[in-house]
Amino acid sequence: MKTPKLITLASCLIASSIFSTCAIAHDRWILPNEFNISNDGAKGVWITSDVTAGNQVFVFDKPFGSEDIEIITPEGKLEYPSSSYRGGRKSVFDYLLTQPGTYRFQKEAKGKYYSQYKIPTSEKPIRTKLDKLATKANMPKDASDLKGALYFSRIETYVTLNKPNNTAFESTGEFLELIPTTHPSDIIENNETKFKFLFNGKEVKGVEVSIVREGTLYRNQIEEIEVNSDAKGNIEFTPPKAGRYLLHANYETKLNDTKLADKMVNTIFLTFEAGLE
Amino acid sequence: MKKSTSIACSLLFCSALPVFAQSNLSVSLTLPEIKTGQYHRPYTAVWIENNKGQHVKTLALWTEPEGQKWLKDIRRWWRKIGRSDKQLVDGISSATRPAGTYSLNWDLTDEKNNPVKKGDYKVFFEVVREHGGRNLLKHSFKLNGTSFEEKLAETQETGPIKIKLN
Repeated sequence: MKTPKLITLASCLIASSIFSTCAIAHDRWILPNEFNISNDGAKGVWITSDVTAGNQVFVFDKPFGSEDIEIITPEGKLEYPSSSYRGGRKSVFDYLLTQPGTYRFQKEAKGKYYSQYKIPTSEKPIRTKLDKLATKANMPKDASDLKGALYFSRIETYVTLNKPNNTAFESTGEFLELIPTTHPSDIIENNETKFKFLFNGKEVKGVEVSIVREGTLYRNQIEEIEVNSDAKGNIEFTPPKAGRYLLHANYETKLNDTKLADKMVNTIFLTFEAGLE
Repeated sequence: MKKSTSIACSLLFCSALPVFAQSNLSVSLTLPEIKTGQYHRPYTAVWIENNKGQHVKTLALWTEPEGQKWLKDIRRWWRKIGRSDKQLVDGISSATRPAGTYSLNWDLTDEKNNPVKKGDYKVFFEVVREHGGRNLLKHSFKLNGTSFEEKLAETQETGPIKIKLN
Protein backbone atom coordinates (compact mmCIF):
# COMPACT_ATOMS: atom_id res chain seq x y z
CA MET A 1 0.00 0.00 0.00
CA LYS A 2 1.39 3.35 -0.91
CA THR A 3 0.93 6.14 1.54
CA PRO A 4 -0.74 9.38 0.45
CA LYS A 5 2.57 11.08 1.17
CA LEU A 6 4.35 8.96 -1.39
CA ILE A 7 1.75 9.58 -4.04
CA THR A 8 2.02 13.28 -3.36
CA LEU A 9 5.75 13.11 -3.75
CA ALA A 10 5.58 11.09 -6.93
CA SER A 11 3.06 13.37 -8.56
CA CYS A 12 4.92 16.41 -7.32
CA LEU A 13 8.16 15.13 -8.81
CA ILE A 14 6.52 14.39 -12.06
CA ALA A 15 4.46 17.54 -12.17
CA SER A 16 7.43 19.73 -11.48
CA SER A 17 9.61 18.02 -14.01
CA ILE A 18 6.97 17.96 -16.70
CA PHE A 19 4.51 20.73 -16.57
CA SER A 20 5.52 23.47 -14.24
CA THR A 21 7.83 26.28 -15.09
CA CYS A 22 9.95 25.29 -12.11
CA ALA A 23 12.80 23.37 -13.72
CA ILE A 24 14.14 21.66 -10.62
CA ALA A 25 12.58 18.46 -9.42
CA HIS A 26 13.82 16.43 -6.52
CA ASP A 27 16.75 14.20 -7.27
CA ARG A 28 16.25 10.55 -6.43
CA TRP A 29 18.87 8.01 -5.56
CA ILE A 30 19.90 4.64 -4.17
CA LEU A 31 22.94 5.07 -1.94
CA PRO A 32 24.72 1.88 -0.78
CA ASN A 33 26.97 1.91 2.28
CA GLU A 34 29.86 0.83 0.05
CA PHE A 35 30.42 0.48 -3.67
CA ASN A 36 33.48 -1.77 -3.69
CA ILE A 37 33.95 -4.60 -1.27
CA SER A 38 36.65 -7.14 -0.60
CA ASN A 39 35.71 -10.35 1.14
CA ASP A 40 36.43 -14.04 1.18
CA GLY A 41 32.84 -14.48 0.13
CA ALA A 42 31.99 -17.65 1.99
CA LYS A 43 29.74 -15.86 4.44
CA GLY A 44 28.52 -13.17 2.09
CA VAL A 45 28.59 -9.45 2.67
CA TRP A 46 25.63 -7.32 3.72
CA ILE A 47 24.98 -4.13 1.81
CA THR A 48 22.50 -1.62 3.12
CA SER A 49 21.21 1.20 0.94
CA ASP A 50 19.27 4.42 1.44
CA VAL A 51 16.49 5.13 -1.01
CA THR A 52 15.41 8.75 -0.99
CA ALA A 53 14.60 11.91 -2.88
CA GLY A 54 16.04 15.26 -1.94
CA ASN A 55 17.26 18.57 -3.31
CA GLN A 56 20.76 18.44 -1.82
CA VAL A 57 22.92 15.61 -3.04
CA PHE A 58 22.65 12.75 -0.55
CA VAL A 59 20.75 14.70 2.08
CA PHE A 60 17.74 12.44 2.42
CA ASP A 61 14.42 14.19 2.49
CA LYS A 62 11.59 12.07 1.16
CA PRO A 63 11.31 8.29 1.11
CA PHE A 64 10.06 6.15 -1.72
CA GLY A 65 9.46 2.44 -1.77
CA SER A 66 12.51 0.21 -1.51
CA GLU A 67 10.73 -3.14 -1.14
CA ASP A 68 10.52 -3.45 -4.92
CA ILE A 69 14.10 -2.48 -5.69
CA GLU A 70 15.43 -4.91 -8.27
CA ILE A 71 18.84 -6.45 -7.85
CA ILE A 72 20.56 -7.84 -10.93
CA THR A 73 23.24 -10.28 -9.80
CA PRO A 74 26.64 -10.79 -11.48
CA GLU A 75 25.05 -13.79 -13.24
CA GLY A 76 22.19 -11.66 -14.52
CA LYS A 77 19.52 -13.07 -12.21
CA LEU A 78 16.78 -10.85 -10.78
CA GLU A 79 16.51 -10.69 -7.00
CA TYR A 80 14.86 -8.49 -4.40
CA PRO A 81 15.91 -7.04 -1.04
CA SER A 82 15.94 -9.39 1.90
CA SER A 83 14.31 -6.72 4.02
CA SER A 84 13.28 -3.11 3.74
CA TYR A 85 12.04 -0.27 5.86
CA ARG A 86 10.28 2.98 5.10
CA GLY A 87 10.85 5.86 7.45
CA GLY A 88 9.71 9.43 7.42
CA ARG A 89 12.70 10.68 5.47
CA LYS A 90 14.16 7.68 3.70
CA SER A 91 13.68 4.04 2.88
CA VAL A 92 16.34 1.44 3.48
CA PHE A 93 16.89 -2.02 2.10
CA ASP A 94 19.36 -4.79 2.84
CA TYR A 95 20.83 -7.34 0.50
CA LEU A 96 23.43 -10.05 1.04
CA LEU A 97 26.09 -10.32 -1.67
CA THR A 98 27.11 -13.95 -1.95
CA GLN A 99 29.06 -14.19 -5.18
CA PRO A 100 31.88 -12.11 -6.60
CA GLY A 101 31.11 -9.63 -9.34
CA THR A 102 29.08 -6.54 -10.04
CA TYR A 103 25.51 -6.09 -8.83
CA ARG A 104 23.04 -3.57 -10.17
CA PHE A 105 20.47 -2.09 -7.79
CA GLN A 106 17.62 -0.43 -9.66
CA LYS A 107 14.24 1.12 -9.22
CA GLU A 108 12.46 1.27 -12.53
CA ALA A 109 9.40 3.40 -12.75
CA LYS A 110 7.28 1.82 -15.47
CA GLY A 111 6.24 4.21 -18.22
CA LYS A 112 3.39 6.44 -17.01
CA TYR A 113 1.17 8.85 -18.86
CA TYR A 114 0.32 12.32 -17.61
CA SER A 115 -1.86 14.81 -19.41
CA GLN A 116 -3.20 18.30 -18.92
CA TYR A 117 -5.81 20.59 -20.44
CA LYS A 118 -7.23 24.04 -19.91
CA ILE A 119 -10.76 25.10 -19.05
CA PRO A 120 -12.15 28.66 -19.31
CA THR A 121 -12.94 28.95 -15.61
CA SER A 122 -9.43 28.15 -14.38
CA GLU A 123 -6.10 29.77 -15.13
CA LYS A 124 -4.21 26.71 -14.03
CA PRO A 125 -4.25 23.70 -16.26
CA ILE A 126 -6.08 20.61 -15.09
CA ARG A 127 -3.77 17.61 -14.75
CA THR A 128 -4.58 13.94 -15.07
CA LYS A 129 -2.68 10.74 -14.55
CA LEU A 130 -4.07 9.38 -17.77
CA ASP A 131 -3.01 9.27 -21.38
CA LYS A 132 -4.44 11.80 -23.83
CA LEU A 133 -7.10 9.44 -25.14
CA ALA A 134 -8.52 8.70 -21.70
CA THR A 135 -8.21 12.32 -20.68
CA LYS A 136 -10.08 13.45 -23.77
CA ALA A 137 -12.90 11.05 -22.98
CA ASN A 138 -13.25 12.46 -19.48
CA MET A 139 -12.62 16.19 -19.92
CA PRO A 140 -15.38 18.78 -20.18
CA LYS A 141 -16.59 19.88 -23.59
CA ASP A 142 -15.15 23.37 -23.31
CA ALA A 143 -11.65 22.07 -22.46
CA SER A 144 -8.75 22.95 -24.74
CA ASP A 145 -4.98 22.66 -25.16
CA LEU A 146 -4.78 18.98 -24.39
CA LYS A 147 -1.15 17.90 -23.93
CA GLY A 148 0.31 14.65 -22.71
CA ALA A 149 3.62 13.04 -21.98
CA LEU A 150 4.91 9.57 -21.21
CA TYR A 151 7.41 9.42 -18.34
CA PHE A 152 9.95 6.76 -17.63
CA SER A 153 12.71 6.77 -15.04
CA ARG A 154 15.47 4.57 -13.74
CA ILE A 155 17.23 5.01 -10.44
CA GLU A 156 20.32 2.87 -10.27
CA THR A 157 23.68 2.11 -8.76
CA TYR A 158 26.36 -0.60 -8.91
CA VAL A 159 28.10 -2.48 -6.11
CA THR A 160 31.04 -4.81 -6.73
CA LEU A 161 32.32 -7.65 -4.59
CA ASN A 162 35.92 -8.59 -5.45
CA LYS A 163 36.39 -8.95 -9.21
CA PRO A 164 34.08 -6.76 -11.33
CA ASN A 165 32.08 -8.04 -14.30
CA ASN A 166 29.69 -6.51 -16.85
CA THR A 167 26.65 -8.79 -16.95
CA ALA A 168 24.51 -6.58 -14.70
CA PHE A 169 24.58 -3.67 -17.12
CA GLU A 170 23.84 -5.40 -20.37
CA SER A 171 21.32 -3.43 -22.41
CA THR A 172 17.67 -4.44 -22.23
CA GLY A 173 16.85 -2.34 -25.31
CA GLU A 174 14.00 -0.50 -23.61
CA PHE A 175 13.83 3.31 -23.40
CA LEU A 176 16.80 5.27 -22.11
CA GLU A 177 19.72 3.28 -20.68
CA LEU A 178 23.12 4.22 -19.33
CA ILE A 179 25.88 1.72 -20.13
CA PRO A 180 29.01 2.32 -18.06
CA THR A 181 31.83 2.09 -20.63
CA THR A 182 34.16 2.81 -17.75
CA HIS A 183 33.25 0.15 -15.22
CA PRO A 184 31.69 1.71 -12.10
CA SER A 185 34.50 0.16 -10.04
CA ASP A 186 37.09 1.89 -12.19
CA ILE A 187 35.85 5.46 -11.87
CA ILE A 188 38.81 7.31 -10.36
CA GLU A 189 39.40 10.95 -9.47
CA ASN A 190 41.19 12.95 -12.18
CA ASN A 191 40.72 10.11 -14.65
CA GLU A 192 38.43 10.31 -17.64
CA THR A 193 35.19 8.37 -17.28
CA LYS A 194 33.08 7.28 -20.25
CA PHE A 195 29.42 6.29 -20.33
CA LYS A 196 27.16 5.47 -23.25
CA PHE A 197 23.47 6.22 -23.59
CA LEU A 198 21.08 4.05 -25.56
CA PHE A 199 17.47 4.74 -26.42
CA ASN A 200 15.52 1.64 -27.37
CA GLY A 201 18.86 -0.10 -27.77
CA LYS A 202 20.38 2.50 -30.12
CA GLU A 203 23.09 5.06 -29.39
CA VAL A 204 21.36 8.34 -28.70
CA LYS A 205 22.54 11.93 -29.12
CA GLY A 206 21.50 14.86 -26.99
CA VAL A 207 20.98 13.25 -23.58
CA GLU A 208 21.44 16.06 -21.07
CA VAL A 209 23.59 14.95 -18.18
CA SER A 210 24.48 16.67 -14.94
CA ILE A 211 26.93 15.17 -12.45
CA VAL A 212 27.18 16.51 -8.92
CA ARG A 213 29.54 15.55 -6.13
CA GLU A 214 28.03 14.95 -2.72
CA GLY A 215 28.04 17.67 -0.10
CA THR A 216 26.22 20.48 -1.88
CA LEU A 217 24.82 21.48 1.51
CA TYR A 218 28.31 22.52 2.60
CA ARG A 219 29.48 24.53 -0.37
CA ASN A 220 28.20 27.66 -2.04
CA GLN A 221 28.33 26.47 -5.62
CA ILE A 222 26.87 23.22 -6.88
CA GLU A 223 29.95 22.65 -9.09
CA GLU A 224 28.06 20.36 -11.42
CA ILE A 225 29.60 18.87 -14.52
CA GLU A 226 27.26 19.27 -17.49
CA VAL A 227 27.64 17.26 -20.66
CA ASN A 228 25.48 16.10 -23.57
CA SER A 229 25.81 12.78 -25.29
CA ASP A 230 27.38 12.87 -28.77
CA ALA A 231 26.19 11.14 -31.94
CA LYS A 232 27.45 7.80 -30.61
CA GLY A 233 25.62 8.25 -27.33
CA ASN A 234 28.86 8.83 -25.44
CA ILE A 235 29.70 11.22 -22.67
CA GLU A 236 33.13 11.81 -21.14
CA PHE A 237 33.91 13.61 -17.93
CA THR A 238 36.61 13.70 -15.27
CA PRO A 239 35.60 13.56 -11.61
CA PRO A 240 37.74 16.26 -9.99
CA LYS A 241 37.81 14.62 -6.57
CA ALA A 242 37.30 11.22 -5.02
CA GLY A 243 33.86 10.88 -3.49
CA ARG A 244 30.28 9.95 -4.17
CA TYR A 245 28.47 11.47 -7.13
CA LEU A 246 24.91 11.68 -8.40
CA LEU A 247 24.38 11.66 -12.15
CA HIS A 248 21.09 12.92 -13.54
CA ALA A 249 20.37 12.23 -17.20
CA ASN A 250 17.39 13.59 -19.06
CA TYR A 251 16.19 12.85 -22.56
CA GLU A 252 13.02 14.07 -24.21
CA THR A 253 11.80 12.87 -27.54
CA LYS A 254 8.73 13.63 -29.61
CA LEU A 255 6.51 10.66 -30.26
CA ASN A 256 5.49 9.79 -33.81
CA ASP A 257 2.14 8.51 -32.64
CA THR A 258 0.63 11.29 -30.55
CA LYS A 259 -2.68 9.59 -29.75
CA LEU A 260 -1.66 8.82 -26.16
CA ALA A 261 1.09 11.40 -25.58
CA ASP A 262 3.00 14.08 -27.48
CA LYS A 263 6.41 13.33 -26.08
CA MET A 264 8.35 10.91 -23.97
CA VAL A 265 10.52 12.06 -21.07
CA ASN A 266 13.27 9.72 -19.82
CA THR A 267 15.19 10.23 -16.62
CA ILE A 268 18.09 8.28 -15.15
CA PHE A 269 19.66 8.80 -11.75
CA LEU A 270 22.94 6.97 -11.21
CA THR A 271 24.83 7.01 -7.93
CA PHE A 272 28.52 6.21 -8.23
CA GLU A 273 31.81 6.52 -6.43
CA ALA A 274 35.01 8.06 -7.78
CA GLY A 275 37.87 6.35 -6.02
CA LEU A 276 41.18 7.74 -4.87
CA GLU A 277 44.05 7.48 -7.30
CA MET B 1 66.21 -20.77 -46.15
CA LYS B 2 68.95 -21.51 -43.72
CA LYS B 3 69.63 -17.82 -43.16
CA SER B 4 66.04 -16.87 -42.44
CA THR B 5 65.73 -19.76 -40.02
CA SER B 6 68.76 -18.62 -38.13
CA ILE B 7 67.45 -15.05 -37.98
CA ALA B 8 64.11 -16.28 -36.74
CA CYS B 9 65.89 -18.41 -34.19
CA SER B 10 68.05 -15.61 -32.93
CA LEU B 11 65.05 -13.27 -32.71
CA LEU B 12 63.17 -15.83 -30.76
CA PHE B 13 66.14 -16.49 -28.57
CA CYS B 14 66.69 -12.79 -27.97
CA SER B 15 63.15 -12.11 -26.93
CA ALA B 16 63.16 -15.07 -24.60
CA LEU B 17 66.38 -14.02 -22.93
CA PRO B 18 66.23 -11.93 -19.80
CA VAL B 19 67.11 -8.45 -20.99
CA PHE B 20 68.90 -7.70 -17.76
CA ALA B 21 70.18 -11.05 -16.67
CA GLN B 22 72.25 -9.56 -13.89
CA SER B 23 69.98 -6.70 -12.86
CA ASN B 24 67.48 -6.22 -10.17
CA LEU B 25 65.59 -3.38 -8.58
CA SER B 26 66.15 -3.15 -4.86
CA VAL B 27 63.89 -1.13 -2.68
CA SER B 28 64.22 -0.17 0.92
CA LEU B 29 61.02 0.98 2.59
CA THR B 30 60.80 2.54 6.03
CA LEU B 31 57.62 2.48 8.06
CA PRO B 32 58.00 5.35 10.54
CA GLU B 33 57.20 5.22 14.23
CA ILE B 34 53.88 6.95 14.70
CA LYS B 35 52.88 7.92 18.20
CA THR B 36 49.13 7.81 18.54
CA GLY B 37 46.63 6.34 20.96
CA GLN B 38 45.28 3.83 18.50
CA TYR B 39 48.17 2.62 16.37
CA HIS B 40 47.64 -0.30 14.04
CA ARG B 41 50.39 -1.57 11.80
CA PRO B 42 49.68 -0.38 8.27
CA TYR B 43 48.41 -2.45 5.42
CA THR B 44 51.13 -2.13 2.83
CA ALA B 45 51.55 -3.04 -0.81
CA VAL B 46 54.58 -2.51 -3.05
CA TRP B 47 54.25 -3.37 -6.70
CA ILE B 48 55.33 -2.64 -10.26
CA GLU B 49 53.15 -1.36 -13.09
CA ASN B 50 54.00 -0.93 -16.76
CA ASN B 51 53.49 2.32 -18.67
CA LYS B 52 49.88 1.38 -19.42
CA GLY B 53 49.07 1.21 -15.73
CA GLN B 54 48.87 -2.59 -15.80
CA HIS B 55 50.08 -4.62 -12.87
CA VAL B 56 53.37 -6.42 -13.50
CA LYS B 57 54.44 -7.81 -10.15
CA THR B 58 53.59 -7.42 -6.50
CA LEU B 59 56.72 -7.26 -4.37
CA ALA B 60 55.06 -7.09 -0.97
CA LEU B 61 51.59 -7.36 0.53
CA TRP B 62 51.42 -6.97 4.28
CA THR B 63 47.97 -7.54 5.79
CA GLU B 64 46.26 -9.40 8.60
CA PRO B 65 45.36 -13.06 8.01
CA GLU B 66 41.63 -12.36 8.44
CA GLY B 67 41.94 -8.97 6.81
CA GLN B 68 40.25 -9.64 3.47
CA LYS B 69 37.58 -7.13 4.40
CA TRP B 70 40.15 -4.33 4.47
CA LEU B 71 42.11 -5.27 1.34
CA LYS B 72 40.03 -2.83 -0.69
CA ASP B 73 41.45 -0.01 1.42
CA ILE B 74 44.80 -0.57 -0.30
CA ARG B 75 42.87 1.10 -3.00
CA ARG B 76 45.05 1.26 -6.05
CA TRP B 77 46.65 -2.12 -5.51
CA TRP B 78 43.21 -3.67 -4.93
CA ARG B 79 41.91 -2.15 -8.13
CA LYS B 80 44.93 -3.07 -10.21
CA ILE B 81 45.32 -6.69 -9.16
CA GLY B 82 44.03 -7.69 -5.73
CA ARG B 83 40.36 -7.91 -6.65
CA SER B 84 41.08 -10.04 -9.73
CA ASP B 85 43.54 -12.57 -8.47
CA LYS B 86 42.73 -14.31 -5.21
CA GLN B 87 45.49 -16.87 -5.72
CA LEU B 88 48.10 -14.18 -5.96
CA VAL B 89 46.74 -12.52 -2.81
CA ASP B 90 46.79 -15.79 -0.89
CA GLY B 91 50.23 -16.62 -2.18
CA ILE B 92 51.97 -13.37 -1.47
CA SER B 93 50.32 -11.85 1.57
CA SER B 94 52.19 -11.88 4.84
CA ALA B 95 51.75 -10.26 8.23
CA THR B 96 51.77 -6.52 8.80
CA ARG B 97 55.13 -5.12 9.92
CA PRO B 98 56.05 -2.85 12.80
CA ALA B 99 57.94 0.39 12.29
CA GLY B 100 61.33 -0.30 10.71
CA THR B 101 63.21 -0.48 7.44
CA TYR B 102 62.52 -3.33 5.03
CA SER B 103 64.31 -4.48 1.91
CA LEU B 104 62.46 -5.73 -1.12
CA ASN B 105 63.74 -6.96 -4.41
CA TRP B 106 62.38 -7.12 -7.93
CA ASP B 107 64.14 -9.55 -10.25
CA LEU B 108 62.60 -7.82 -13.29
CA THR B 109 60.13 -10.60 -13.95
CA ASP B 110 56.34 -10.59 -14.10
CA GLU B 111 53.98 -12.72 -12.01
CA LYS B 112 54.69 -15.72 -14.23
CA ASN B 113 58.40 -15.20 -13.61
CA ASN B 114 58.99 -14.25 -17.22
CA PRO B 115 61.56 -11.49 -17.70
CA VAL B 116 59.96 -8.16 -18.57
CA LYS B 117 60.80 -6.14 -21.68
CA LYS B 118 62.75 -2.92 -21.80
CA GLY B 119 60.62 0.13 -21.29
CA ASP B 120 58.95 2.44 -18.81
CA TYR B 121 57.78 1.15 -15.46
CA LYS B 122 56.60 2.51 -12.15
CA VAL B 123 57.09 1.23 -8.66
CA PHE B 124 54.22 1.97 -6.27
CA PHE B 125 54.10 2.09 -2.49
CA GLU B 126 50.67 2.17 -0.86
CA VAL B 127 50.54 2.35 2.91
CA VAL B 128 47.18 2.48 4.69
CA ARG B 129 46.68 2.54 8.44
CA GLU B 130 43.43 1.77 10.25
CA HIS B 131 42.35 4.91 12.10
CA GLY B 132 45.23 6.59 10.34
CA GLY B 133 46.17 7.95 6.95
CA ARG B 134 47.03 6.63 3.54
CA ASN B 135 49.93 7.50 1.30
CA LEU B 136 50.45 6.41 -2.27
CA LEU B 137 53.94 6.99 -3.64
CA LYS B 138 55.23 6.19 -7.08
CA HIS B 139 58.44 6.42 -8.97
CA SER B 140 58.80 6.14 -12.75
CA PHE B 141 61.89 4.59 -14.23
CA LYS B 142 63.26 3.16 -17.44
CA LEU B 143 64.57 -0.31 -17.90
CA ASN B 144 67.14 0.27 -20.61
CA GLY B 145 70.33 -1.01 -19.04
CA THR B 146 71.12 2.21 -17.15
CA SER B 147 71.37 1.88 -13.41
CA PHE B 148 70.03 4.53 -11.03
CA GLU B 149 69.54 5.31 -7.40
CA GLU B 150 66.68 7.40 -6.08
CA LYS B 151 65.24 8.53 -2.77
CA LEU B 152 61.59 9.41 -2.21
CA ALA B 153 60.56 12.15 0.19
CA GLU B 154 59.06 11.10 3.50
CA THR B 155 55.31 11.28 3.97
CA GLN B 156 53.05 10.88 6.96
CA GLU B 157 52.88 7.10 6.60
CA THR B 158 56.27 6.43 4.99
CA GLY B 159 59.83 7.13 6.13
CA PRO B 160 62.81 7.16 3.77
CA ILE B 161 62.40 5.06 0.63
CA LYS B 162 65.40 4.16 -1.49
CA ILE B 163 65.12 2.64 -4.95
CA LYS B 164 68.16 1.27 -6.70
CA LEU B 165 68.58 -0.46 -10.03
CA ASN B 166 71.82 -2.38 -10.50
